[in-house]
Amino acid sequence: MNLKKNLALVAALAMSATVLAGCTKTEGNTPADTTAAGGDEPATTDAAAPEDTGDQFTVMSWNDEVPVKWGETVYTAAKPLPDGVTYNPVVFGVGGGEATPYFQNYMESGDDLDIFALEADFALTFLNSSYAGSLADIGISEDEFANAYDYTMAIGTVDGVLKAVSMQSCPGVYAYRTDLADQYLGVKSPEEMQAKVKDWDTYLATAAEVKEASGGKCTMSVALGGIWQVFSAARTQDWVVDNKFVVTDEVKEFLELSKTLADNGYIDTNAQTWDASWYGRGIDGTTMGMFTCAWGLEGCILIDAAGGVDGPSYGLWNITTGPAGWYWGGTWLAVSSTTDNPNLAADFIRYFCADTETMTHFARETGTFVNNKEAVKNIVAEGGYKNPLLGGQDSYAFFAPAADAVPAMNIGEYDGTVKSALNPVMVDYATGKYASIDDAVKAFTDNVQAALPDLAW
Amino acid sequence: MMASAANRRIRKLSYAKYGYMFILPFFLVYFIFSLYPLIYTFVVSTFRATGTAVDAEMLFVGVENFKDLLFVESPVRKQFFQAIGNTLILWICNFIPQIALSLLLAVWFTDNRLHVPGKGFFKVVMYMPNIITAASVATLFLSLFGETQYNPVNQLLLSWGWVQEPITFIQTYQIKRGIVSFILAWMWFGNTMVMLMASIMGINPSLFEAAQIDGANSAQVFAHITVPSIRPMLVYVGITSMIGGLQMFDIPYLFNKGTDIDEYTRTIAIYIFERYSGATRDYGRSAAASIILFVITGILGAIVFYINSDKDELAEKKRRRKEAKKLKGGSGF
Repeated sequence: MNLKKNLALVAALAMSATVLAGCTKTEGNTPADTTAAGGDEPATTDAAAPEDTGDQFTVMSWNDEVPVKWGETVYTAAKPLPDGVTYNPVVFGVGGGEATPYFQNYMESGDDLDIFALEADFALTFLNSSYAGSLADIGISEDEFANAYDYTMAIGTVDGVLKAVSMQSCPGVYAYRTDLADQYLGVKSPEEMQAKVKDWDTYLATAAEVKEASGGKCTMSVALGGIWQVFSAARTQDWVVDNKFVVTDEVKEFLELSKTLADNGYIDTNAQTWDASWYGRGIDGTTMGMFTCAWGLEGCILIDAAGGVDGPSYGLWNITTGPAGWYWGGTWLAVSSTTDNPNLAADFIRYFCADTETMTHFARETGTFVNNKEAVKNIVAEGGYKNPLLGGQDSYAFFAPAADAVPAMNIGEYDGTVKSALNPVMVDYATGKYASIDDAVKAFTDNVQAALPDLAW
Repeated sequence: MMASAANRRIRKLSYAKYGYMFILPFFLVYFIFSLYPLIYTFVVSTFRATGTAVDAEMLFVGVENFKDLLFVESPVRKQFFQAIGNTLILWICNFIPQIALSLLLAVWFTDNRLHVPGKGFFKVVMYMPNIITAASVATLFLSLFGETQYNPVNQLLLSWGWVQEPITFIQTYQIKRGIVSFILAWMWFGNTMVMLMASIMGINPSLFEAAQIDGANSAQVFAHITVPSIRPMLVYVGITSMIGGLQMFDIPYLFNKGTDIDEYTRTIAIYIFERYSGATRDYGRSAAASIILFVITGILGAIVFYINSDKDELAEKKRRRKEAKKLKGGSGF
């Protein structure tokens, strides 16, 4: 009997210990590794920022692009870390949309963290928290990013404080098949094509032309998801104003357009983004083009729609801006408020996001469309990048004005959630499940309310 | 009196403490990783985050979260009840064909008169789907049943000329639910079959012989000997499948494009996941939904257990208890 009591006591103690551990969690915001002084020398003599004391330089992201491919292979190779400091890449191997809980757990654990990467959809979840530090605190001023594209700076600025900067710029494009454009529209150059898709009315007229010329075989684009990105970037107002959800005009315009496109067979609504059905039409020539962006050319999307390097439509593509300037995704770098290597962190951010020389080098090596107008100019002056996928079209020369055309809008903290709420509705409305646009908007609003019940409804 | 004194001495000599020492590691792990999170879930369910930032403050709101999910008429409640409905539909649609098929196969494979050849081979092949990771299976099926002429199933149907236009397997929610149920049944029927076979082989063969001598046909043998004898196993299979079914997550979640879950395959577990992950950071309602799921599981488990338990035995127990009471009452005289 006594043993049972003891057992219960042990169990109760173990439980209360964990309860207490749980309670102290919120205090754990102190900089990590303050005790690890082991032979560290300050990396620079920069007087503005505090000294580097950490023996680890930690860069965290959801995938290996920033911490490994860029940080480890490019940065540490070009600039060896000071003695006694080891490079510590933290990679979770998940999609950007799933990163939040991983990041949160890591940050709450208080482990060493200097730099972390963010995507626009969830950037504010972290930039609004105490875990993100101001770039001014590590001695980086806003002026250093004079060459960055405006929209990337707008996204990284929270309440007037610059907290994150982007290493790439990701202007969106309408990619089209040059052979089909010639055959159905008599179009010979990207400029002529742009005139055919310069706004949505012209786009629809062109779609009708293509449909007729091809005998209904050829659509204008594939999957609705890509088109929403264009409208989303054109929004001038946040989804939530004074804690109230506002359906902006873009939603209705977009839904109407989706319906028109679907009703007339200008788009394949059955196609799923990121699936064989998205790429198939590009391979067999039953679509004129598709909406993609700077990272969606030889990295993914368009290369798949071309069927790979040996694919049937490889080299037959060209890109134009499309009906509106827009961007799709991108990666922002933020600095942790608990960083113990502020000078290294500042140098890392400057290397990828501010320094024209290193960014030019980086662009030359990797083909990335960097977020620096001067670097882009340098590359274009050197002869640009004759993209074989685009039949030799200079994608760099093209992206430069496209990135300038992206409207500088702020992102809101609910963008990702709202997008998820809209996705099922847009396909259902386009395929005729809702009787009227008001029903569709109501369904969309209900989805948002179910997802965000704590707004004022 | 003497007996109880002897008992006491024996108890003093008991080696039970060693037993407790051996089970101690399990209980420690259980308390830390199961019981404490369970209790903590109750605590969290009474709080609500005040914003979307990762370190947003949590406010105590009492039973508000439960009220929102269960009683206040709003899209929140609608979505939650839809999730409960989806879970039940998906579970029933996969469990009934699954148990029927595994029972049939189990009876065939164990029947002495049928002598099915290659039993071992079939057993392995049928168990195989269970070995594959659910994630791979869901992704594979999603790609197979894509809705354009570039996805395999539609490609086949089109080339055979069975259909003129690609079938929208995923947008048509009945078909989508059907595919999800099919995947679940296909993955689990082998497992259920093996368990039922083990149970059937444990039945005394003389019962079957006796039935044969008495001239019972296979249907009668099945209904009056096999099923009653494997009832405990049926209860076990039913309850485990139901608990697993209520927590159904991986297949319906991954049988969706990206993280956008449609309203026809959102199960309770997916609902709970959606609430706390992503930008909503709604830990409170997530925990409240978990607790509601816990209660539903408890109730359904009790019902299944009651339906399947031996009624005669229950009646016997009741009778005995009554008698004991009567005897006690009698001695009071």
